[in-house]
Amino acid sequence: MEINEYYVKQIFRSAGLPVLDGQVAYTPEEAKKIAQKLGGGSFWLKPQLMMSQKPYTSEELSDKFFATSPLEVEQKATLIMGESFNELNATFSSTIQRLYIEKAISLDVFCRLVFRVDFERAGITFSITKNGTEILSLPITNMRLDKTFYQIVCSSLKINQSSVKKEFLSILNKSFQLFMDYGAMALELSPVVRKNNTLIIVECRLIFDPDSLFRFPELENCREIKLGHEREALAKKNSFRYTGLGGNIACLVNGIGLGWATVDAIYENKGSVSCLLDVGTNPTVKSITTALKLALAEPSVDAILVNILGGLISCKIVAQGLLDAAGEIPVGIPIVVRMMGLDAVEGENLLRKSMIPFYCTSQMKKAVQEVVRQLKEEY
Amino acid sequence: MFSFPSSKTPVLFQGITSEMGLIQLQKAIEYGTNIVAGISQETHIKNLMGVPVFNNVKLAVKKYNPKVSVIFSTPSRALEDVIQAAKAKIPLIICTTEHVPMHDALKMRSIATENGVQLLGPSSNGIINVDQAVTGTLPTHLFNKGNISIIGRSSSLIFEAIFQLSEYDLGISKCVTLGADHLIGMSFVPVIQALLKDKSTDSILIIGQVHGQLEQELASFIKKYKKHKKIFAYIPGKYLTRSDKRPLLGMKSVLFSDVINQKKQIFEKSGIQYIDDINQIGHTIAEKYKLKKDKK
Repeated sequence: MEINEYYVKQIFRSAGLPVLDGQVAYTPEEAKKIAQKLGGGSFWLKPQLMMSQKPYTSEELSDKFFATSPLEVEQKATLIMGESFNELNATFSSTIQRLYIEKAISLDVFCRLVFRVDFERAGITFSITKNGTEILSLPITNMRLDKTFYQIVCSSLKINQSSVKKEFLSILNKSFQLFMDYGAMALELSPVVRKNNTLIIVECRLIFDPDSLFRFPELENCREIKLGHEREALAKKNSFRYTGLGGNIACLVNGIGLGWATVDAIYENKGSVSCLLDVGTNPTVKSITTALKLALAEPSVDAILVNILGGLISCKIVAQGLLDAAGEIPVGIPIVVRMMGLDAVEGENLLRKSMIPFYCTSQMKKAVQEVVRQLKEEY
Repeated sequence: MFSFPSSKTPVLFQGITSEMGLIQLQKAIEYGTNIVAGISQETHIKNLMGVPVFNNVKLAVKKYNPKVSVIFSTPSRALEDVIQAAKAKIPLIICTTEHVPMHDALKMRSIATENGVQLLGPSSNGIINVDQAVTGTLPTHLFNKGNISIIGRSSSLIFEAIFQLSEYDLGISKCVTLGADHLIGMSFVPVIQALLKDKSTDSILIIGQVHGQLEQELASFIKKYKKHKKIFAYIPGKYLTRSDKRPLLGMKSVLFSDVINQKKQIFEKSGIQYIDDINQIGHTIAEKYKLKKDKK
């Protein structure tokens, strides 16, 4: 999970890390006032949007988001605000309602330092990227920074001057502490040496582990739904998982492994999957109902395949969940249901008794072939 | 050295009074698992279905010397429970908790290594030794005794494989779930090592995962090992592409199909038969036994 840059910077600031001065503006006038308060020089106007991808970096900020006086800040803010912001590679756009006004500084050498949980190594890795290329990747042993670590990092960045070195190490330590305290997936920072030999963090980013958020209820307030991720958010709220895939068959499954295999089987049969709805191995009636309703309401979905293995869950519960959803949203598309395991026969009977034309089978192969066939027939 | 819990192996349940703990306690006892004690934070409970309940792992270990501990705690409690079990030197710890924070999972791994114990999971569904013992959350009613053993990351696909095998009257000997999380304790290798020596197993099915390097590690182990058992493998997710075009910090962006193809090749080079189609799992394995599908 990520939160907006201005909030991350606040977290960094309160951890005693030097970050660029800045503040959020909601109107052009506010933007101007903030710029005046920040004092002379030039400014960045950074749109604060929750995107599926990080929308920009300071290096990438174009002239449009750069101003040299508070007056220009106001003028540019007027242009930007309310404007639809099309992100690189993004399939959606959004209007900019918030700008983070920050004092701009020149960036000659730009490097990114990253602490992250490394899945491949099953540990924590520190890496440095300079102008886009990785120059160092170092495992952190025992979840502690030690002398050897400091030496390697300083020498690879060619930090020799003792005053800079001291400050740099303090930044490293404090940010690592922040990374550990939040149990974060990743922490990124870009420190820059200023002309007076002090360091300042220009960019920073914190990616939280969604599973550790229960420890930080205060983050719940600054959590915003990412644009284009509203369905994922609805799914999470109802304890199932949504993955959009762009085709036209929705798959409702219990268990992610089974889900992926079902997607594979549909493509093997020349179908295409619109979305994968994973209700988990032990779902409730409500999560099944919400998941099916989500699929039924989706305009891109032309057919639904339900693939449930009754291991921990009874198929009767699944059937009930499906019927509840179909009772709320009229079913105009084919629904193929494959149920196996605990109470599969009873579940199937429940579905057959209803007026809704579910196609039921106990075999996955048959279910996949049937859903693809029914779709073909429709067109 | 990993070994499969049998009906004689003394087993401890941590988080025995949790919802899942209670359900599984009953199922495990019915199945014949030797549950010797349970741990709960609810101090007023002293006994559950004939199983003595403690609030301290040390005490339970001193009195009953369990060889396996199964953890059913909440994500916030799981790390503490693993630490207690590891410090008490219980040789095999099975953590069934899902949604364990990543940093906690890292700490679990290192604490297990420090104490020389084995950790299965987190997010593992445990182990079933068919007709002997169930340690975890695997549904016993799906497993019929046979000679095929399964090791998988996630449980849902294991159930699918079992259904397909049962259509050919093929049953299961042992089944181990490693957990579907990115950060887990035990890998395929110690389990397959035990399975290759296991007399009641004559074929092994591996259900892998796109993420991670565990399959590569397994393949290089198998390559070195003189084996007489047939090993099959399947990995789901060929047609899924990672949706984020700009990868997570420091992680390489990859196509799942590329990774699976790569893993498939590595498997095949080490003599593991890779199954491309999920619907062919039962058929492919049955072919080895030259069984015709019975048309009930």
